[in-house]
Amino acid sequence: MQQRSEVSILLVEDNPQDLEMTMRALRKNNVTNRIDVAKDGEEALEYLFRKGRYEKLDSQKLPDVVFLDLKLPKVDGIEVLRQIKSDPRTRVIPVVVLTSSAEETDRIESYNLGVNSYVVKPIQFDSFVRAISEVGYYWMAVNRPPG
Amino acid sequence: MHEARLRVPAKGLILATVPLVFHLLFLVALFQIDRQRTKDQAAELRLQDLTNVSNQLLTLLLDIETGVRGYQLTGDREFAEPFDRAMREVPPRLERMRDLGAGDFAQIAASAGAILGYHTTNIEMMNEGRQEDAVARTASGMGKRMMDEFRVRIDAELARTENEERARRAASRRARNFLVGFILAGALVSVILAFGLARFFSRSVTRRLVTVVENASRLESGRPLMPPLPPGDEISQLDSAFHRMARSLTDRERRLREANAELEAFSYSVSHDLRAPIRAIDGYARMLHDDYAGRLEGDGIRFLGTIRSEAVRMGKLIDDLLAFSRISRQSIQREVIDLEGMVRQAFEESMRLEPGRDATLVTEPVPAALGDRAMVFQLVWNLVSNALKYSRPREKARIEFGAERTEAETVYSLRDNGVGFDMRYHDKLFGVFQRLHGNDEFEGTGVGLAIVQRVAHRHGGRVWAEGKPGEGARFCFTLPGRNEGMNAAA
Repeated sequence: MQQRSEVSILLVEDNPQDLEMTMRALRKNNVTNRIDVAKDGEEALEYLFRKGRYEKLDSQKLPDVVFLDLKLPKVDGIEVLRQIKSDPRTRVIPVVVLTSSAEETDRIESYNLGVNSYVVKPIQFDSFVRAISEVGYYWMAVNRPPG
Repeated sequence: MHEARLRVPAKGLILATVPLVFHLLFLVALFQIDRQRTKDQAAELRLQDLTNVSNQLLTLLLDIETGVRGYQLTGDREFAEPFDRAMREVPPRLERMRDLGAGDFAQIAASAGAILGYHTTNIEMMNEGRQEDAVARTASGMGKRMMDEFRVRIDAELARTENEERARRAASRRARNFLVGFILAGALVSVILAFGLARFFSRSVTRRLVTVVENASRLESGRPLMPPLPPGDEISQLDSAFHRMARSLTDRERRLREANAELEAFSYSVSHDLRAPIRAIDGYARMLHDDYAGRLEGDGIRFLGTIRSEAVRMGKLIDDLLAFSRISRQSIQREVIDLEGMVRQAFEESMRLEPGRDATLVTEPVPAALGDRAMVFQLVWNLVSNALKYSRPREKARIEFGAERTEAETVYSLRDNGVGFDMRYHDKLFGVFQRLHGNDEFEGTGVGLAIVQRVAHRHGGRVWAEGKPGEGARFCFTLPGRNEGMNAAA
């Protein structure tokens, strides 16, 4: 299996503890060599569509996968997902929802909007790390994007 | 329809009154007929009396003439005896005639008086010895003329009275015929009227009652009611009470929906916001352990382990509580459920989680239940895992599932040979977070049996338990097949 030269993740997470734990899980398992972080929905959209504070970034180098929390300040995760999946530039980016919410409505809504994976963050740290690394490994190493 | 304004007792009163009025009229008519008959009899008697008295008068007066002639011929006063009798008996008969109301009484009396006067003169002449004068006077035919005149008057009087009587009788017959006709026709009309009114009232009452009954059943099934009946009687009041009830039910339903939506939002935030810090506690304790275990001494590692296991237990509590609240919020989709199969499935899945247990499940075919498959599975699952959990101290666990059918319901029961419980605490069994055993004895959050009870209640059923310490427990539940308890949170 061919490894891509540089694999990057956009991690959208407002909870610093979850952020730290997720980063640790991803790093420990060497899934990626670049993690960009957005602390709320608005920042995530600015980053993906190269607006506001991310205006000057290269618009060709979009992340290979987005890890998206649902409950976010300013713009919530569902709305971010909607915009990613309705814009032709970002539609192909795999989006993994990583959420605390086991609520059915969120899950159904996310799948309706075209989410690629929906992961409920396990409470136990070990399971959490396993889930993150497995999903990360799948989307970054196993899955082949179009083009 | 003005008829609808009549109250039900008023309708009953009308129904009772109509024949009553007719009966009163019949009584009056019968009384009238009777009076007519009495009057007819009296009139007939009067006519007879009048005829008799007239004949007697005629005879008395005629006899005078004969007597007087005998006296005149013989000079013997004895012969004039009829005259004396007439003088005695004519006045009372004239009086009688007057009493009988003869129309021409005055003339008749005058005529009779003249005859009596004429013969009195004849008798006086004879008494004075003027026999020849008396005979000559008699021969003049005066007495005969007077007598003829009297007879004519009497005959005229009798004829007139008879005519009157005939006319009166004809009128009386006509009146009686009318009254009899009235009674016959009235009886017919009364029967038809009473029957028609009864039919009309009962149909209007029945029709409206049908509406009310229909509304009651619509109210029960939550469908919109039929348009309200026009106001008026008690049935309309009942109908409008149903309409008011429907409005207040709709209102309550709306409030319930709002409360449920709030609960939904609440449990959403519970599931999201409460889990994050617990995950962090476990995660950071683990990271501390991973990176700094070497620097911890004595109980340090154990303390970290406790922090982690307690965090995990709290997570389990939250998950159970969410499952519990979800059961209250979910709507029920009823279908036929094979409980025996479901119990077997729950048993097998539970056994997979505890490999190495020596447990037997004995079931018998039970009547099918009607319920929400997912919810009833939660009930069955919790009962079965409960039974397995509390029979863990037994070398061989034995679980029996069966049902008993009574007239009113089917009671399903699950029996185990576990540690049982003290019946004194049996009301605590089904409370949320209520436990009869310490966590070191049997693990658990105290939500399982609360879920069991909530599922049973939401299906309109009941759940109860019997047991003795050390002698196992028996959990019973009912799931009514009918559409009872369909409303939201019990």
